[in-house]
Amino acid sequence: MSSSSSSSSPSCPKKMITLKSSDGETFEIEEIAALQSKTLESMIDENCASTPVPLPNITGKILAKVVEYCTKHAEVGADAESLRAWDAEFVSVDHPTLFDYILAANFLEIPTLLNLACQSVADMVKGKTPDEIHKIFNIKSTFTPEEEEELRRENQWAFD
Amino acid sequence: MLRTPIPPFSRKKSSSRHQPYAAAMKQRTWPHRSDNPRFSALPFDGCGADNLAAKLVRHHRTDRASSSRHASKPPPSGLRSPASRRALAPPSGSPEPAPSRDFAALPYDVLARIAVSFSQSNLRAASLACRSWSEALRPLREAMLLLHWGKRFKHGRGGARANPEKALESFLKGAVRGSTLAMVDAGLMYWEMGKKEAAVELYRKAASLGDPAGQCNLGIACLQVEPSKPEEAIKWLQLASTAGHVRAQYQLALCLHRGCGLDSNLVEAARWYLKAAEGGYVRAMYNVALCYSFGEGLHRNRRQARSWMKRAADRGHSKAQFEHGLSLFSGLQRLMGTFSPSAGG
Repeated sequence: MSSSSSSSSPSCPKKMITLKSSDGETFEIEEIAALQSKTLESMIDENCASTPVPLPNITGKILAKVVEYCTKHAEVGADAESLRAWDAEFVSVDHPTLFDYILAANFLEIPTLLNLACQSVADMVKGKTPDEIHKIFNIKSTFTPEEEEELRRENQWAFD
Repeated sequence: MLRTPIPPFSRKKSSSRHQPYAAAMKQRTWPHRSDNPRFSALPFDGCGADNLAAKLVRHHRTDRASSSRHASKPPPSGLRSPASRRALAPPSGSPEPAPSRDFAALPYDVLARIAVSFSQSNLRAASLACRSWSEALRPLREAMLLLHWGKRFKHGRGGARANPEKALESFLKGAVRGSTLAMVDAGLMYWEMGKKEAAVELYRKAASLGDPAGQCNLGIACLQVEPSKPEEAIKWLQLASTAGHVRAQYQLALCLHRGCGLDSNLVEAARWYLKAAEGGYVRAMYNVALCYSFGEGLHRNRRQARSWMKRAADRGHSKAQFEHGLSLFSGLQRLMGTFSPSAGG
């Protein structure tokens, strides 16, 4: 399955590169859109992107979304307000997917997507107690009681 | 709530009662220190030329491995370079398949990135979530402490004299550890010292990391530098406003009002004034009162106008106090007129 990006001017052919996910799916993305990824940008600069670029740590499902994100953000003349709304919709996903977005954006060095996804997680963490954080993200506290006590003491200055 | 005596007539030096918009626009909207407790600083992120795949896998292995063989005492705190923060496990060989979605196993630099504009209390809660988060956020906790000291130096608390140089030094150290709060405060120090380029650089760093205070300050700086960059200012103010930063909302409203950096739009301006006012920004309350009073951007509504003017007056806005006083006085006159035998009106 390959997803082609939507283009507004069919007259001039757009330069495309191909990305290959961990599960073997290939995706085409306009070079302009791919430049938002610093990783892909350097590969394009080094002429390494003429063959499909393997991304063994990103699944097809996530890669499809990343391509969608980059394509959307490469559009010219997009209204800032509606783009923000689109972004908000983009990250309204379950936690595992958000997690995957973060890792993909981190790996591909897409600052806008990383910012977006990290901000989303940050907003979930803000204002929560450690127990609530455990519940939201399904993580376990791995502290010993002594470690936890030491950590609390370390932060005692804030109550001065 | 502040209560001040109602000023007598024509105490104001301003030429006309109805110059509020212009006066409001000329007012210095520079984020005042006390309203802007969040500091940000330049992070030396250092995410550079590493082999990213190896880095990714290293982190996953690191976080899972370290949690099992971690020593009972946390490692000594101290200056932690970005390199040492990442190099916690031996380099890996072949890449692994996608790891399980364990938020506890997020790479340290990502965790630090998530918490980059956290307040002290949020940082504390996040640090107590699990060991790997605690480790990842250690530099930010150090930054918080440096921020705290920086504020003390700046304002001369605890019996010590104010020391701007030490304050800046402290903020910059916090900035290096990645806190956008420290970045913004360091930038503010630079700006107040007249080193505008250095300030803007710090604001820009904080802004690009998504810190609303940094975005707001950067927007304002873009308007105030020579030559001014209104379009860029709008971009940053919009980001900060959407994130809920009240000062940015007010500033954005001003720009929309005067058509600075984008086409003048009274309705949009009034919308943002209202948002900022609801968020507690006093100058915005005053301007909302005027919008309601004159029907500019909002439908004319005397009751709302008076309500907002009173709220601004209660919060100490001097022009609002004057206006509010006048409206009370004229209300009193009307009331007295009702009972007077020769009722004039």
